[in-house]
Amino acid sequence: MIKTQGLSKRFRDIVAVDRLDLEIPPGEIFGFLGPNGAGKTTTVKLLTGLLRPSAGRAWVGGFDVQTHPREAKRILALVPDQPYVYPQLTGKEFLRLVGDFYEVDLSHQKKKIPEFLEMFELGEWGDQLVETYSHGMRQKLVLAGVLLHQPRVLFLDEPMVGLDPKSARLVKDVFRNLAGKGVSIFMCTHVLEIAEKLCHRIGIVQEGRLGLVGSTEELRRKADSSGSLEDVFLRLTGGDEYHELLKYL
Amino acid sequence: MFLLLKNRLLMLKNRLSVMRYGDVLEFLGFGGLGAVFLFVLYYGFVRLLWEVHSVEMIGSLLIVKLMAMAFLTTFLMIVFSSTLASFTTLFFAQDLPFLVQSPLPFRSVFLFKAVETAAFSSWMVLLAMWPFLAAYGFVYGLGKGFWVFLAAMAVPFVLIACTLGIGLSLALMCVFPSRRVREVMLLLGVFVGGSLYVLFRWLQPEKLVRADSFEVLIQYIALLEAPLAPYLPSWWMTSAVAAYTADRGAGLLADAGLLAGAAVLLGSILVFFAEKAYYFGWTSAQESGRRQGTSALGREWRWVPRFFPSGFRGLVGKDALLFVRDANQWSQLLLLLALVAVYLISIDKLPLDNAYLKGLISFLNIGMVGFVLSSVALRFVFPAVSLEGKCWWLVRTAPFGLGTVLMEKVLLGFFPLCVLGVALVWASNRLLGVDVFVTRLSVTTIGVMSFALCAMGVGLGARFPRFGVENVPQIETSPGGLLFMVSSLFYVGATISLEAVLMRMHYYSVVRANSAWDAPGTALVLAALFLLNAAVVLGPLLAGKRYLERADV
Repeated sequence: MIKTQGLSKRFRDIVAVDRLDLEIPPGEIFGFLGPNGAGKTTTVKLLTGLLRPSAGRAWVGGFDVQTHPREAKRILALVPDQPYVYPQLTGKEFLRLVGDFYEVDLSHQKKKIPEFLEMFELGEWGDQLVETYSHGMRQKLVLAGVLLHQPRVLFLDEPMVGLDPKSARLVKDVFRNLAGKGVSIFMCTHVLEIAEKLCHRIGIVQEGRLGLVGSTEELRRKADSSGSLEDVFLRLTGGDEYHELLKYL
Repeated sequence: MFLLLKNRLLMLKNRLSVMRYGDVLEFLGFGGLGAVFLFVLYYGFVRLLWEVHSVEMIGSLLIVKLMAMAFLTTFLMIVFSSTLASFTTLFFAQDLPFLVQSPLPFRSVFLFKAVETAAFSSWMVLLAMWPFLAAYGFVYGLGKGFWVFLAAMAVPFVLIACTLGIGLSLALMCVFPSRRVREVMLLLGVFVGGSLYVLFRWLQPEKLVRADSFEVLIQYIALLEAPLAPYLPSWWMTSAVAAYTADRGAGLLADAGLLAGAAVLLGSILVFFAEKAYYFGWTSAQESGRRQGTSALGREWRWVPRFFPSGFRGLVGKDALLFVRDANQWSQLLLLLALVAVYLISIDKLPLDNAYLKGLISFLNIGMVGFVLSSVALRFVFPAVSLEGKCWWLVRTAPFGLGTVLMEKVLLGFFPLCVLGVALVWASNRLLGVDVFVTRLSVTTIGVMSFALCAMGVGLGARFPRFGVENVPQIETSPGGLLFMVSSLFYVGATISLEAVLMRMHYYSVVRANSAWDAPGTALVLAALFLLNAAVVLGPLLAGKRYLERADV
């Protein structure tokens, strides 16, 4: 459902994504992990058509993101790391906008928008301007927008940031449910517990290059570690340097 | 405060240090374009001032009067600009939460933001004054000392204007609860519109071109000698420049003292007032009120015609809603209405005695309306892409092309701009009583021009987007805004120059009572007009689309 071949992105002298080869089948939740600045968000931007690659190609649902962007965008959805939403629209208006962008039938919108708002506990806020929403509420609104147009591929960049525990549980259940229906999910996250519990496979990226890829068990084996995903991650990306510094605090 | 200013300079230095060769070339290109534009204006002013200066008795008086008008307009523009800018810089800037929670005294934060506002809202206006003042200095043979003197005088002049502007926004923010900012902006719009109207009627420029309307010359000279708004700093500035030119030391000292004294006094009052009111204003600006009532789903943009595709309808509806809800935007419509009223009044008041003059003015009127449309497009159309801001991701990941997005913005700008332009030329032609040909030519030209200017505005706005800025004036005064302004002025000028050929043939036909129309000449002009408009529409739109496709925004 998602495929990349030698996908690269260079910003001046910095290689943000370096020859990424990846294939994610339908129904898989793929966790994309890496330290800050490793190239995770850039990869998401390349896969959703927000950026042009310097080299290589990317396909979503069989459509080349660069040569057939409309077809690819019709079946994908993005939840960005910062849920920027027009502050002067109400929650309902934002969802109507998303519905119209993706040509969702109006009768379907009328039925589903109140349902999704209720599901994310935004029912009372639907007629309020987004500028009055908290970060978590905006995040939930963006997620509601994503569900409204029923994408086949979902790109999530830190989707749990700002969510309260109840909403986080709901969102995780939603993702599992979507994956069960064949939706592919590409998720960048720093919350390793979530990645461990939710993702079928995990890829660890560092300095733009994809290191290890596999299930949590496979990663443990490859990293020669019996600990948690956090231990595997730190072993692969380095994480002991700060112990000396801690002494000075 | 100095620490914060130093930090801002450091940011500028860092920005310059990461410029690549291409960026430097682009920067130099824009700088060069701006310089050429200013030099053309300078040359025009030199010629004008030479002409006026050579008129015996009244030449110098007329120049002083012109300067007083220019300073008065500059002063009011800085007041207006700083009022609008300070709403954002003082109350809604992104760095304010960080600054307010820091251990810096609140007064320092206010002063830093006030200096930032002053610099931001005055540099463009002051730059626009440069060609006139440079031409004045040249015509009167004033040396380098004149520039030192002007720089020294400009400081209190700008300070007074900005103090008034910032004080006004501070007062409005404290008097009205923040959730009623729209009403505040409405009040502001009415205030500015009214001021402009008063300003224009105050100046009565039509009197200056009609010395013969005065019974005796002495009456005309008395009008010229009378100070223009003598209690405003603009007159003190004018008077100081006149005193410097005539080498009158006492007069110069008096005016400089008035300016400096008023700046110190008003600045102190503002700081005192800010210590009492700024924190209250800022905290109340963070509060948001709840909207009452519920809306029926599916009726959000039912007014957008159904024959448009669903995504396009959503874009139109969203942009219209955001425009209506952004008081910063629509409050300036009031200003626009005042401008239209002033324009029509001035057309009505023009002393035109014969058909030739009427025809000439009605033709030049097309150009004037074109210039009005250029400034309106700079204000409302050019920023359209940049105003998507951080929500651009939603539009870019939606399943329609950039062409759809750009065309939506062109059309949304075109309809109101076309209505405004056509209404202006139609009403002014009615007032002038011109013939059918001129009316048809004007209406058609303005219709086409409205579309071309919108396309150019959206295209250049897309080529030079500023997604990260906090307010519209920052988008307008960007290098892209400058390029749009200069290009649109050249476009309007070129259109008028080409149509002058048609107008001349029409005029000769009327005067000689037989057709002076030359078919090949007409065809050539029409072809040139077609090519010009095609270039103006397609060039910027394609450049903008291409840039957005490649840029990391």
